[in-house]
Amino acid sequence: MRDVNQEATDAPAPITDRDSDPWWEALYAGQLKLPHCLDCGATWFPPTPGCPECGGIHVELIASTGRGHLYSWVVINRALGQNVPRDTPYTIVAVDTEEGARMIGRLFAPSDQPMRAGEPLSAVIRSVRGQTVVGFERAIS
Amino acid sequence: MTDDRRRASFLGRTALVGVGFTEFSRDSGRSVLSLAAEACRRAIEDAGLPRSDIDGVVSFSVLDDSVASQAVATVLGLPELTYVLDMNLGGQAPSFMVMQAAMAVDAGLADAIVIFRALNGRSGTRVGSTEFHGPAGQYRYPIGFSAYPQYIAMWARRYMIETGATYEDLGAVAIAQRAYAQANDRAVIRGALTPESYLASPFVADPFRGPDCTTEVDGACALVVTTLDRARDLRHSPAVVRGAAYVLGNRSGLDIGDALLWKDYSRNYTSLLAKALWASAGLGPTEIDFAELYDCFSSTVLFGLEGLGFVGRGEAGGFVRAGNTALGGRLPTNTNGGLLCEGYLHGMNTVAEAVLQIQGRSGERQVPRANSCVVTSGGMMDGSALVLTRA
Ligand SMILES: [Zn+2]
Repeated sequence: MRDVNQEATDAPAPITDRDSDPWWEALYAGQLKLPHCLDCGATWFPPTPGCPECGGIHVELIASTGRGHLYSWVVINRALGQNVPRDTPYTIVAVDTEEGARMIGRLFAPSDQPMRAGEPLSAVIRSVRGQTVVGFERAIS
Repeated sequence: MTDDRRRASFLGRTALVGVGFTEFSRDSGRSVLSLAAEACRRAIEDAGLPRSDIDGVVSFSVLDDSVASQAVATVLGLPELTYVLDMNLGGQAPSFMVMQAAMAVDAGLADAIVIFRALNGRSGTRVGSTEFHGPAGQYRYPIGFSAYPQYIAMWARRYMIETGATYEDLGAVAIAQRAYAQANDRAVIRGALTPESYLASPFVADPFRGPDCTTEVDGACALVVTTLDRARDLRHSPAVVRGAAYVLGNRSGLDIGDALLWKDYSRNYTSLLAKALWASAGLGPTEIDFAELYDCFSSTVLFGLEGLGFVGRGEAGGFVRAGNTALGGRLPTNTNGGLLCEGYLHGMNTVAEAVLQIQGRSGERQVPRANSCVVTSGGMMDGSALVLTRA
């Protein structure tokens, strides 16, 4: 196991699987998608081989607008874990997208304005430490 | 959960009778098997049972951080086992493990079962910040959302948003438990903590500061479960398993750190199992003398107090700040200093403290009235709980 004090290099690559590969492929192509149930209409995250609302198996990926509202957040003050970012403090936000999914992502372009639950955020796709990830930007700058 | 569930037959007919610990340390220098065997040996001796009467072993592990019950039985020289269960679970397991053992002895599958948790949780695999290989980790680790203090802080923040709870409310939990730890030789964190020194502690994962977080340790803890009939003849008075419940909430996610599909971060499993727990015990919160609430982080104590119905929504912080959870308060809580101070045995030591208190063996920190208590195990989407009473 790596010591947390060891200097990190690249971010850990996501260990993807057959359920998530299409989602990552879309992300690498610059598109944020979300799993959607053709049986009950639910939209959620992350991709799963069945619908967590109704158990239906007719699941497809739909495009997300990337717009959402802030549900909660945590400021990471101390790096914990293997190969984690060293640029503390940084903020991880939990965002409820307008399609009905909850996503987590790094807050990009934070500002000095206090965070406020419910404030609007927009998803962005960025390369961070060699990995393509979803993050969010505040509408308030 | 259905409201008309049949009451589990082991309730009121089974008991915890012995407690065993190793030292808790930052580097045991020993194998997990050696730690496990020592705690189990001590628990069996403490119960006053001959080793040959133990015919079951139950345990749990995360990330393969422990040893099989089979190995422990071999090292202890137990004659033959008729019941073994090794569960792949985390902090939600200890009370659930008691339930498994109590069911087994009540059903006649075994007579006396030793249950344990053993790990080199500090010098070996540190569960709080080790990557879980599974379908959910791919969304956490690349963005630097990588450890339990961060996951639970996300819930604590939402709880603060919804209830108006403050940093001072979290701090009150840590301060109250530190006072207990000062009367507990086993606690690894024992220095004085004041409101000022709490607020001066650096953040780990805002809203959590260092004192809001448990300390990972090396060590082991074991308990013995048997029928109440057998328990009555043993060395210490039995801690009767009066009530019990486990729940895995709806949309609980893909692994034990994954809350992406969990809708309400301001409540945890305690609010889901409370009704079934109290119904199973035939007791309610007002009839409970003390509480041992799973506290990987300070916020889970507030969630537990509210979820179990000891206080109303948003009232837990004020309840703790008013001294109600201190020794001599309305509901002494986490009387060993909790996982925050005694060390992170994944809540096994939380159950052990409940048993010691019920048996009247907690020394300086003994609560004056210890006829009944509630114990919880788990911090997030799923968990278990017990009501223990004197016979
Ligand atoms: Zn559906």
